[in-house]
Amino acid sequence: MVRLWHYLAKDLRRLRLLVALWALVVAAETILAGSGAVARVEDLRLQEALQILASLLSLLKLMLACVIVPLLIQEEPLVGTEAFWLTRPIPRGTLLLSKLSFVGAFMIVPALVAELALMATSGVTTRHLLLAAPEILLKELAWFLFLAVLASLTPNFARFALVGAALLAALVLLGLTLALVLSSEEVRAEIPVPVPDSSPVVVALLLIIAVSLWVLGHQYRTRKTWRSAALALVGAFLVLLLSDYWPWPFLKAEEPRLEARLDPQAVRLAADIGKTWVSDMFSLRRKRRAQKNVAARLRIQGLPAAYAATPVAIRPRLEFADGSAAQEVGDLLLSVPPDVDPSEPLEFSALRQALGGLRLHYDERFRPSMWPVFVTVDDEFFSRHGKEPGEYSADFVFRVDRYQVVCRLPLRPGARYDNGSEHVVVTDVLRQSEGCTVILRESNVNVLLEPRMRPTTRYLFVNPGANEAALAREFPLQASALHAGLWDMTMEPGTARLMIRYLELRFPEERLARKELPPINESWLSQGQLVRIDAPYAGRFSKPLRVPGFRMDTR
Amino acid sequence: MIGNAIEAEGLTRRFGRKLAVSGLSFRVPHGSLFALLGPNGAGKTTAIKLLMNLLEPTRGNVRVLGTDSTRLGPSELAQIGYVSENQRLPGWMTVAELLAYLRPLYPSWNEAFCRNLLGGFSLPLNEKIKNLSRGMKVKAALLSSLAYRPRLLVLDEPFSGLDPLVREELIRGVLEWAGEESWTVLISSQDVDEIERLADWVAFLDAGNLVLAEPVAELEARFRRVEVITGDEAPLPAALPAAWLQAAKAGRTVRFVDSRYSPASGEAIAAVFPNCAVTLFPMSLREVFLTLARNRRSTSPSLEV
Repeated sequence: MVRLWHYLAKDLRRLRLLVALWALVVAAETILAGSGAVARVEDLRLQEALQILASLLSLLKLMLACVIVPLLIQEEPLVGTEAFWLTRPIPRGTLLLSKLSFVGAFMIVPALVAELALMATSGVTTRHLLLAAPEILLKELAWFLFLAVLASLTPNFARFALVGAALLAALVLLGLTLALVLSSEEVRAEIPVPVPDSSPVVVALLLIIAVSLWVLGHQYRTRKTWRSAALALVGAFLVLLLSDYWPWPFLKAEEPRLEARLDPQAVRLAADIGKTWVSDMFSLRRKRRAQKNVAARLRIQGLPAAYAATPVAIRPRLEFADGSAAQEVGDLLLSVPPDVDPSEPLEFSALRQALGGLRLHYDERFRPSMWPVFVTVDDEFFSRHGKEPGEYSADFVFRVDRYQVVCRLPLRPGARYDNGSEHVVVTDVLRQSEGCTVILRESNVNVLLEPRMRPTTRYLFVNPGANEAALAREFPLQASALHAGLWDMTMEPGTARLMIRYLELRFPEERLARKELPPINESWLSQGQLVRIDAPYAGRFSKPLRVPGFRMDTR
Repeated sequence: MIGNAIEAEGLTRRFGRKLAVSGLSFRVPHGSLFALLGPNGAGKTTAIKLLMNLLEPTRGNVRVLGTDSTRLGPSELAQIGYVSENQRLPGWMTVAELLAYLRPLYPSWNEAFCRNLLGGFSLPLNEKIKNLSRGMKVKAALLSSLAYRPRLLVLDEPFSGLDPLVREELIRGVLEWAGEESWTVLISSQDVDEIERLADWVAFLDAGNLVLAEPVAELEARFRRVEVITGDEAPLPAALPAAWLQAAKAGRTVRFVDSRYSPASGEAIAAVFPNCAVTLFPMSLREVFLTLARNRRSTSPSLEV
């Protein structure tokens, strides 16, 4: 123990400035993320500068880790025969332990404490704090051990940087190649319901830690660098393999069963085949044959109020008199302009119903109209059979979302909604002559050890007296999150344990204001509320559809 | 102390296709000052790295202070001092910090001896090692390897590239301390003059092979430069004893080096060159070294003398 402290104190003396800088960057990043300074300042230039500062701090944190760890490990290099320490009575096991203790005490603990402090001050519950702590530890440990392994297999910082850059480039190239190959070959006939499953990530993190400790132990014990590198490669392969094909979903969010009130038998499908919408299918890779997506409007009737159904899989068959048939769907949904389909989208109907049947105003330009692709055919097939009536049948699989009012907030600063670790606060209300802008601070947790499905969220300005509601347009102002190592950005991009985001909600957007929209003026707003509607996933069902006399080309 | 501080048996190290050292077998007796000689690339540094466990042997083994070199641990290393021209000291430390860091690692650290050495070396305590001159760095390395009175001191060309004054000072110092403390010293060098004053044992390495390893006194006793004045200018006989190295005739004078000289050598010479005037000259270590080196280049490298 005395020896361990002796080595650790020596390393601390050498790296004290870098460690102090690390602590400073961690603190500054945490304060900047928690304070919401970027969203609060009114000076646009200052806002931009703060945003750049926040990004720079994240980058600096990554770079500092990539500098401190190799300097720490390579102070007693394990590669080569000229290091001073190799002929000194320094037990290798104690040395490794001192290096790990250094990383733990001076790098991981500050990051852990900072993030937990930010979470605690952001109103995260004790349960979520307790769940977040092991996650942060796992991710930070996996990241620092990965760097330590790389440092232990290279003789100096220059080689560490070169090997690291080469690894990164190889990974990016591999990722891009795989993405290109998979996306070009993929038949997008099914959108899986995103049920979060943390088990592959947790397994990958545990494996990275185990493999790293194994390689470090081997390298410190034997200094056989090529053998250690081979072990690391085998470990990396295992991590990739097991994280992709992990069979036991022990940390998977529960997929809700179809609610009892949703009776698929009561749902009726009707296709408007008088007008189809045809578009060329887009592919990243030049295809051997050009294809066309043929979409049509699908009416879904018989759903309970405030429910919306969206196709997630279509298995079609379009057969013609000469026996030729098509049974493929490429893209699942196509966006069509409002002049082609002026009807109210199902989602908006559900929103209106969730609000109790209020009149819903929205800017037509931002109204989504999505038609399902009934069939995807080759261009040659389309030109041969486009005008010819065919026998269409398909199995449609729908996901159902239930729209429900989560909170009603008065339109004044300070109004808030709290639900466990989730908090929404109105930070500012700017009333304009014909509209309103609200600044919101949303914070919520996303803990790896408690995965859950996230609902879609919508904000509306509602005036119950006037029986009117206006759909707000959302503009993200700032999203802050602390990242543990590289994993939050690679394994689950865009996620972090605590997500704080500032939103600007506007209605109407000034430059697109339409005369037909009602004035959202002072008197309207005096009775106004800000309503949040969530649409959690409510299950899935399948339904067959038969359309005799289906023509692909109705022009 | 009786016995050997180092015992090498068939020590071999290969780097890819290159055989750096091949089948080295030698012993370094306790208390001796053992010089490892050889030209550049002879394998001296590789041999030392093998016995310090900086490299693992491809074949063979070496025992250092009774322990197999591949198992040298902190307790053995606490008794061994190692200074090499290639060793990288922690440049960010001052001399004082280096000593403070090393002191707790060695149970036998002698602070009075350290202070004594420090005074003799005139090392600036508060100067960072990276800012020291090469000579000062060697002194710092020596100081940090001597202050705990090692049983075995291994020096791998420590004085190369130093100016003559510093070399002289350090050589004198090593001689003095080794004598006083009864240390075993293994020193590698290509400077024979330097070694001649230091060593009582010598080994000669060439192209990875051990040519000889024996006490200097025995070596000097068995090597003689021989001059024979013959009665005619006839060429040298085709078959000469294998122990006669570098034999050549110029006019009526035959010159060679007898590498197995003994009082009986006169009869052997008289048998080849009857009725000739024979003169024997003792040889310095430097002359022996040069003879062996030239002989290895002109004959089979496997020839041992």
